Amino acid sequence: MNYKKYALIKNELSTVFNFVSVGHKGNFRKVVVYSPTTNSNVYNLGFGDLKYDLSKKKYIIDDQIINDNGDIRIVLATVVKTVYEFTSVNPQITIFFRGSDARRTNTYKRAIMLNLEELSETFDIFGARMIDNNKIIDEPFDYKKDYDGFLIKRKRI
Amino acid sequence: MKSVKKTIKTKRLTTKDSKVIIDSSLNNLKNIEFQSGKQDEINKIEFKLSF
Repeated sequence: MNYKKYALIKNELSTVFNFVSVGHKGNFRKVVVYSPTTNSNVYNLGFGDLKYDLSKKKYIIDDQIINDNGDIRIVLATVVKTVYEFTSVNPQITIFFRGSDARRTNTYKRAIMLNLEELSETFDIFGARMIDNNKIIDEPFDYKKDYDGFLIKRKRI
Repeated sequence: MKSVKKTIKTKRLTTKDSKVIIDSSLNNLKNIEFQSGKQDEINKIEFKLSF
């Protein structure tokens, strides 16, 4: 994605990333976390604002917040950059991601759709469909369809 | 009394291909909780992939 991106900080394993969104509502510390799932070949991409939860007395990621900070393209391009980083270290791993609600999942679909040609040079992209309440199956990505999430994997060279 | 309005401007630091800095303290966030609770759901999901 040939958009501007925020500077990234990551851990050694490229599983946790941090950047700061700067916009007209202020500065927000964003965190992207890649975590293992029940399938050792699939990691989940989680993303949101880092915030201190006073009742729990610990930091959590708020993945439901709407900042309206005017920089959504830069934020999404930065998250996509983490996908390149993570899969360059873990090329065999498939990434699963979805929004915390249908609107966000649809935003991700639009972002994929708008950059499909470029993303497809490096990745195979699939729609993820939930069946039987707790199983995810893959389908070829079709922008006309709605999905429960997405799966993205580095192409084999 | 004269009121003084102070404006603090923060520069947006972006680039098309920025360097990535490594910071091991981020390991503390590896198992962080998500507000939506979706992470707990994902831990129960079975992935039946065709590839």
